[in-house]
Amino acid sequence: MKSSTVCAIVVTYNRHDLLIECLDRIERQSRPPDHVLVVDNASTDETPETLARREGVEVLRLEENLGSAGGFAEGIRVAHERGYEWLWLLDDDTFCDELCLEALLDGVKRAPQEPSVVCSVVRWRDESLHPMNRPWFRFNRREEFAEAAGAGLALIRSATWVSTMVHRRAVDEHGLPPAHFFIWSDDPEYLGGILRESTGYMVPESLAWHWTPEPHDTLTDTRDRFYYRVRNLVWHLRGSSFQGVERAFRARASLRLVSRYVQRSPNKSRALATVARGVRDGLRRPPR
Amino acid sequence: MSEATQVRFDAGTLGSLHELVGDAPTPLVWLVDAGATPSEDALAALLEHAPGPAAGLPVDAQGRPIKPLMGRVDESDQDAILDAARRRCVPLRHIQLTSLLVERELVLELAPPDPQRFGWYAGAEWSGRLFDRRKGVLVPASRVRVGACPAGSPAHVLRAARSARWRSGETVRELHRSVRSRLG
Repeated sequence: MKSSTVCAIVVTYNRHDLLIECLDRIERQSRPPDHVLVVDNASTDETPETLARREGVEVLRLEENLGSAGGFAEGIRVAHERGYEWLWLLDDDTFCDELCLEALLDGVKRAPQEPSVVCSVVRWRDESLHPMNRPWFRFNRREEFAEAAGAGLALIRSATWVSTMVHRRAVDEHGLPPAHFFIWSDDPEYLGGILRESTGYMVPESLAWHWTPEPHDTLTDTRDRFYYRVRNLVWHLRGSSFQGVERAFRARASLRLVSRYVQRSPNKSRALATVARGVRDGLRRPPR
Repeated sequence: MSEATQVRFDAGTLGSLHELVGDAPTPLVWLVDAGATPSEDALAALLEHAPGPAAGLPVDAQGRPIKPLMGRVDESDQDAILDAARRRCVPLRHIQLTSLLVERELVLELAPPDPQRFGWYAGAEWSGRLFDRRKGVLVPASRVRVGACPAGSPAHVLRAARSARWRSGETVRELHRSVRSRLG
């Protein structure tokens, strides 16, 4: 297989219209990916029928919904087995600019150090940086940060599933994303783990829009699925992706997040029960 | 005529910055530490970011960046950081004065550095005030070789930190460097 081959991996679940736009945008790339793999998390809307009719897309239909974590783990496993060099990860509500992939690959070429991860700038509909995908810059490595800026790149510590490319070498070394996370915090856990020792960049010219209805973070969603957020944060803090001062900062941010969630919830006792359940399960040994 | 006038300063003349730049015939001045050696293309790289303020990257004899002299990134605006990366530079809150392109008038508008009060950190404290007035950037393509990188006294660290609103982390780290250098 020739070098610099890219497999786009899109994970979807019951978001037919968004998925179509996402795939249309991938198709219109100035430098199209060499392969497009859609992981269908057992969608129950018209997604399977539409995907069956669509050309140029391989569909990997899962028997049950494994969440974004399980979906990306499956997609990465398949693409890695096929030998692609770069795995371009996209949620189904990611709308890429036409130059998105070309700019990412240009970023790889001019990178001062061989990167394991490169990602796009992610904006919301109004062009502001999306709160869920804000850049996570690596300021503490000042020399490398300056070196990266000299090459027109921004050094990062982690990224999200919204237009991020992972090199196959990182999968060789770190394995697959933590499927047991199901949703939330799986991306910083996996990508943060990869970038703990290796190098990643954000490419300013590579743009993607995260097309959520609101520019929300997880706090806006006050349903019981915040349970996953809490449980995964505890797993995340117990894991090895972040250590020392970084872990302390993550812990402080997590406490603030949980506190804000409880404060904003209309039913506080239910919110507290959700948090307690998340903490309890987070303290148990994660399934492997 | 050059686009910028090079003005050399040292620890003894830093406090007289107004006098040093006062007679410069160009609107832009390039402040260079007398003990520093800019690379051949250092000024050209800074001029791409004119009128500045634009600082060069201090490096050692092996060409490696010198961390304590590199200044601190302005982390307050993520869009500005991305925009700066696109322009191949880094937004700064402050930096030690080794190589800086800046408008002469801007230098004259500000009170000069105060080495008596801030010691070795007088330049960094001054650049913090300067960048409050006009956003400053670090230009990695503009390199300036610096021989030594001493640390100032703990009292000077604390004064500079208070005056230039350093963050607690950077203050503690610089205090550590200061105390360690005094202990030999």
